[in-house]
Amino acid sequence: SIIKSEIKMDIDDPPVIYGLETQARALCSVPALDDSQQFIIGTQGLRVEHNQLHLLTFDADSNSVSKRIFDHGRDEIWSVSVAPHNPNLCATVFNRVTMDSGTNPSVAKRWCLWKLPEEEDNQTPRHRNSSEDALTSSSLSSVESLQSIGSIELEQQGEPRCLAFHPERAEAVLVSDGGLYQLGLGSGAVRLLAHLPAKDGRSQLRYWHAAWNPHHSAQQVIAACDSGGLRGFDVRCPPSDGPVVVIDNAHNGQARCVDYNPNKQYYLASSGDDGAIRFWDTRQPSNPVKMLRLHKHWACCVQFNPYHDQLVLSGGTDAKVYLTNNRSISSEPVLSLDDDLDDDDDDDDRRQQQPELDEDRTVSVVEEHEDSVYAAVWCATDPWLFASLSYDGRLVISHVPKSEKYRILL
Amino acid sequence: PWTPLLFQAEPDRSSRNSRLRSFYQQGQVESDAASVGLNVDPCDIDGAGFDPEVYLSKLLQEQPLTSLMAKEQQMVDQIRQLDSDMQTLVYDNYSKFISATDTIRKMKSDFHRMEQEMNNLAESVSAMSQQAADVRQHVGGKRAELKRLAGVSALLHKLQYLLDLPARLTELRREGAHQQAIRAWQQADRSVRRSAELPAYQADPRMQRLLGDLEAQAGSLQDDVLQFVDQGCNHLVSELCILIAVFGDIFPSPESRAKLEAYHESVMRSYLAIVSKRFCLEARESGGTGDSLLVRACDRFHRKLQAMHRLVTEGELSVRALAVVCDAAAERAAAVRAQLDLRLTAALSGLRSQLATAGARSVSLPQLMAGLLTELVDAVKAALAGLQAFLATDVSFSLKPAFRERFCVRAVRQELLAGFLNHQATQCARLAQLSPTPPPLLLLLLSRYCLDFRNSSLHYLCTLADEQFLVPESPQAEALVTPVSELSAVYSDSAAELLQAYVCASGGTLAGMLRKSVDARDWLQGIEPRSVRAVVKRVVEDLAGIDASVSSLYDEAPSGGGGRGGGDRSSDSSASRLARRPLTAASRSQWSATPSTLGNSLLHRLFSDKVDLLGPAEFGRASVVSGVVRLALKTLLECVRLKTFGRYGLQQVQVDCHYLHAFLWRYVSDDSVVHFLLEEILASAAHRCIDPVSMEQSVVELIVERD
Repeated sequence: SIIKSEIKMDIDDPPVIYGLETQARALCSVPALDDSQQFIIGTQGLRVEHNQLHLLTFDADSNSVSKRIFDHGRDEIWSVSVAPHNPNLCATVFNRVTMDSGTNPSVAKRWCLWKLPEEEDNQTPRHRNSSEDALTSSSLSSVESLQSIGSIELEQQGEPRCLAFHPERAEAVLVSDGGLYQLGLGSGAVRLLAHLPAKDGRSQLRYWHAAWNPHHSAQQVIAACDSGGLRGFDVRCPPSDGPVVVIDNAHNGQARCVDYNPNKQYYLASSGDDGAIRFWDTRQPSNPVKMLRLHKHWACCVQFNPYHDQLVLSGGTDAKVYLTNNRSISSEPVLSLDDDLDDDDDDDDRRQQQPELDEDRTVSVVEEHEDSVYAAVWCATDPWLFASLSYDGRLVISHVPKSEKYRILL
Repeated sequence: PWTPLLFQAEPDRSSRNSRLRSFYQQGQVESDAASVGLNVDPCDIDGAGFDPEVYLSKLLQEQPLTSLMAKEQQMVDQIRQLDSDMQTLVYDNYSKFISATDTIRKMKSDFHRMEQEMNNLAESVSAMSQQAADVRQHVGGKRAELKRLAGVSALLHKLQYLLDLPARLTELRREGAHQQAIRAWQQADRSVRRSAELPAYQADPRMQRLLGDLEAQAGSLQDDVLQFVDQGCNHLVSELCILIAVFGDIFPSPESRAKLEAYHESVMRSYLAIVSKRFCLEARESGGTGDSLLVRACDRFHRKLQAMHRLVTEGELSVRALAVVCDAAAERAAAVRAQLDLRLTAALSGLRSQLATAGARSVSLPQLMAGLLTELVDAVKAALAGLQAFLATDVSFSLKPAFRERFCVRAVRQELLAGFLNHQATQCARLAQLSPTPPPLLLLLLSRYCLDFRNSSLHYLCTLADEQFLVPESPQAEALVTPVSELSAVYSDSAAELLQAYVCASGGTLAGMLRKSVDARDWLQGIEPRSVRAVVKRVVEDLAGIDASVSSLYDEAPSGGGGRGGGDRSSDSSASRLARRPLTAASRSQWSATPSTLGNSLLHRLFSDKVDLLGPAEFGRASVVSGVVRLALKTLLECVRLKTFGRYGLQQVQVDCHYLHAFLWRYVSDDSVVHFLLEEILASAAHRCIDPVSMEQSVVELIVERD
């Protein structure tokens, strides 16, 4: 094991692959209380009897995952999210097919809040999957059942897309065709707090994704629209006031994802059908602060690393996941300041030899996917771990390259 | 007020007495009275305390009658005498009064006359002061001048004396007048010693004024630049030359020589700075015709200073003059470059509006591109030709190596030509990154333009400039100039970027149409498909248009260089491409529009290398158009995956895919990618279908056949 750890100092851990038997789009990181590295994924099987939520725990020592499986019935899962303040509280958006009278099938998108049952250690030991046989996810492990907390019917709801939990309070925003619905989740019941209709003057918008602004005790939420624009709202204002942030034509085509920089106020990233990742300062919405054109087709998701916001993860339908370092627009101090602080000659020499090290760059590309990647997330508890899920049901858990990690830390 | 006193005749003698006394001896009376008052005797008839009652009773009691009689007689006499005295006094005074009155009257008349004379006097004085003021006014302005002239004259006299002194001394010595000679020498020696420490040259006001005049002129373009140079040369430089010559003759000592040089240096520094400023202004502001004038001015200036350099060998005047000329020439080159940049911007925006207003079909892209190429190449050539005026053989500085290096190599060859060429490529590439995408045709056209420019004009222009400006083939010169290969790479990159942007833009347009159509349709409910969806037909039609545009500019196969596309392509090529895929047995067996191909696609994935679905487009029609096709199909695939299909929804996708398969093969370079994508679309639709029953292949073919 000594030899192994020595090797591990230099060589990056290989990514761990976990396979589902059905298609999948839904992936979320779990902010586990014991700081274990957990992800949750949902299956998308239209004609499958048992769709499932897989709660995966990554074990860094053995570089493998163990799983717990929850039954989701016939409803295929389109989106899953876990409450940051309560890792047992999760929400799914799903498709339910009803065959009334057999000839006229109808399909409806719905959403529901669930409580994940507590783990009972003695009864269901975690099933380990080493990276070698991970491709065939075993069905041996017992399937647990979810406890529904509830869902409420909302007026003009349309198709729900996803649910964004509030980073601090027991609240959430449901993103749907009908707009944004601010929901209160306290005291064991779901209630509607406010409805922000998806209207832009006279034209109807469709929201695809939304993110809370983590700064200023998270009073703002921003949504990505199918028109390519972004609309930010302050939940303290009445819905009639309209958006407080308007970024038009953020993307050519639909805007697919938006995420606030966790460490730098007013900064956010968006991705869209033009394959671009754009970074915005909401105080100057006319021009992006920076643009990355990496994806050759839709850029489906973008996320800042929750600790080191220069690291940005993005996944796209070109089956690529890009990890980029955007130091120039991050909350990290600029290089010249560093140079002033430490007068280490060796350090200077190193920088002179490799001046490109501190420029913005693509750190790594996850090549393991063969189909479109609709979701890629950072681990909520480990800044050097991230997971990405492609449509063919392949989850890849990857590490930030060690060289990059040490460059950031040292 | 003595008159009333006179007529108040009082009988009281003592009071009269005292009054008279007080009038004539005022001061004395008081002291007398005071002394009298000390021992008052009421019986003293002349005393102040005289009491007549006491005196009378005393006389009556003490004196016998005779003495009383005598006393009375005596007193009567005295009274009479006093009265006469008073009378005399009164007359006396009165006559004085009369004479005084006369005198006053006389004075009065005298004063009257005097006043008149005084008035006359005042008038004269004021007239005089008026005249004095007039005189001052007339003379005042010239007084300083006069004073100065007088001073100068005195100084000149002294100087003349000093200058004549050596001759005079010699003469005196020859005549033997040694005494006189020594006196003259001593006199001169004193004054010379006194002025030895004065800083003679700094305070030269004339030179300063000339510099000031020139500086004022340098700030504006009002005066001719030639005139400016003439004025500077003829006045300032000439005077400086004379000063140097004369001074050198008079003061040959090394110290004074150093002083002169310092002075000369300061004047020349100011002058060169002024000239440089003026030349640069001329270079910047004058229009297209300014070259010859500026060159003549530079030439004249350079010649004059070279001449001066022969006189003053120190200070490297000639080198510095050349530096001024170099700066002016470089500035001119920079101005020409700025004009070229403006020309480029105007040409690009003109092209953009032309493409935006005219439809894609009504304009000939190769013609537009050729026009742009000719316009800009001609503009560059004209700019280079204009600057050649600096190299004319009759221009004094044209052969100087320093000028050649600075102007020909750095300013023209590198900053103007290479700089502009680089700017042009990056400006074009910048359009590819604009967020509201410019018209796709503009991107396409500019990509071909960059390619053509690289192939034909880039090398030509660089060689032309090398020849026209005699750029040496030395390593030093090459180090200063961006190599053609580097520029060529920049153009290639720009062309590739623009082409990629074109693929994204026009593919994005098709993709947008497909996305909206898939989003808007209810795929779950619906009737059995009878025809191909209109939007799919529209996509194929638009693709024909895109193909026509691309093929007008690009050859079939990817080619790094070669001639312009379009010329050799037959005009019916796009029409033939609208034709349906020939339904040979091979193609039929190769692909069938059934969703059972899911396994097939998995096999495809397993056994083929990862297909780079959306790889960069190469410079060829097929590659570009298939890039557009792939983008559109990939989007269709993603949209299908977001939907849930009923049986007939799936069958509609089947029909659409078959139609696309029948028509797209013409446009793509690699048929297998289209196969793969269409299979994926079908497989995904089948996967997302709640009742996956596919349509009979023959029926699908029938429907497609009918459309």
